[in-house]
Amino acid sequence: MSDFVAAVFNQTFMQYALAGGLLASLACGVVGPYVLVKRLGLLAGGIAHALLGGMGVAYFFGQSPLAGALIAAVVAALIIGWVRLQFGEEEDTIIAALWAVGMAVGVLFISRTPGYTADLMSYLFGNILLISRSDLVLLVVLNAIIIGTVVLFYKQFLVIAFDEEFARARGLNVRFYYLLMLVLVALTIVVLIRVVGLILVIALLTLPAAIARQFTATLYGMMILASLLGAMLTLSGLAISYGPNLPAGATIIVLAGLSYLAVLLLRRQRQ
Amino acid sequence: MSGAIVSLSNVSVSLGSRTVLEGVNLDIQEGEFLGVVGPNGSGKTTLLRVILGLIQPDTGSVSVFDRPPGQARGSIGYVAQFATFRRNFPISVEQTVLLGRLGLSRGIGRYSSADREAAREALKQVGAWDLRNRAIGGLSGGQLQRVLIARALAGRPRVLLLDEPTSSIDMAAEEGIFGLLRELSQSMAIVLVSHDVGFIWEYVSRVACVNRTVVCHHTSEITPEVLQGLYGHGVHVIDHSAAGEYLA
Repeated sequence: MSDFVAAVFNQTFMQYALAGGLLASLACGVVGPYVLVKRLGLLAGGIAHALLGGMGVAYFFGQSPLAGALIAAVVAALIIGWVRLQFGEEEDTIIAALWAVGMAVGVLFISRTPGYTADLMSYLFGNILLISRSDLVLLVVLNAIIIGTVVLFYKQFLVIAFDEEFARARGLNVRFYYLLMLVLVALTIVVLIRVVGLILVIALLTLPAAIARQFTATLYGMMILASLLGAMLTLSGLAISYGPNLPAGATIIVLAGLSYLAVLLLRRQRQ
Repeated sequence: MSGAIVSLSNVSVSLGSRTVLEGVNLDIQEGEFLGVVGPNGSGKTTLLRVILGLIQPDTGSVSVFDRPPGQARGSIGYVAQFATFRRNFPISVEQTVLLGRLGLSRGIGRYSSADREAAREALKQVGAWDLRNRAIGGLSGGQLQRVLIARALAGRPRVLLLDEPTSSIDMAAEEGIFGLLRELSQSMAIVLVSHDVGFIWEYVSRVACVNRTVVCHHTSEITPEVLQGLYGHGVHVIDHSAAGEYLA
């Protein structure tokens, strides 16, 4: 543990990792409650996996994989959102297909990219210790877009998450705000990829929000609490994983899962 | 226009291959308390959705406050049939009612003080001001229905559309809701959909009987024969004034 503290004070990579972890916590704390209450889990999973296609293509053409991920995430969010709006809940098959095909395209392109391809693992499972200065700039910009949009459209997101039929009766453009919400989910996933990787993002999107839900009865309460919880989880995950050289992303997720379980058990015992 | 606030002329609606409404003519007057009755699946809810502009009729024309229905939503309060949301959603009563300001208040950012004032007034009107900080998940069926009516009132509507507002609450709460609607009908037009014609007819001034077509009767004209024609089978009619019952 003292190694970790020393690294925090002396090593730039660890300071970047902490900053990245906090930025990721903020994004998933604000967007996670929407994923939870609007039941966007499957859609978020689909977006996360499908965007590997964009990363793979960007990688193949020598562009920044995160830029590819960003474009692919937004496109995947719009396609998946459109499928859901057009066909409703019963068309899970199309979303599952996009999920898998996007991933397969990514694997194909990465396999055809000449040279060193070990990076693939860090996109799948994250590598918070590899966060660079330019990554941090992107994370700050994405966070600003996400939080700014939620502040501006809090009411609209609240009503479409809560009661779509009523929103429609009030003349709200439900489709537009639904797709905008999914784009925010997509941006959040891009933020989280560096930290926990695209396979694990879904846990960080839902678990802090689910824990927060046990303690608060308002959406913004969930957002604040989930952000704090996310920060605590990423910090402790980093600290625990550093000494024994465990993968930080996986450690954070296991911690989140255990915390959720503990909260559920405590709840049950008290009742 | 003939002073009608809502006017449907020769409206037909098909959903899929099924004709739900056919050749419907209906005028709703300012300040009127209209009951809409009919068997399940007769098109009552569709009728409301046409007035709200959520369904485009295949033929015929609709005007609401002399405008196309979609443009008059700011003047309509709507209480949907089933609570169309999950009861465990993390939201307080006051926030729920504030959502009724949607489309009337600033599009972005926080609610204005006028929004909060309208929500406060609506909550007091339905007698739910004391519940304002409660989570909606903890309310009884009757309390929730009052809150949903307050949400509709927060937009200060000129006409209130309610779709089976008492279908999931107990008798005592039901009478409370009808009493509230009677009070509200002093200051706005109300369209109340119910499958329970016996219960509503002492409150409403006119009844629209829906069964693909719409036929209107003033409450004084409703006879067992009329009801039998509508429902196509025997109907229990409770005469509330005499507490008597007879079978049509």
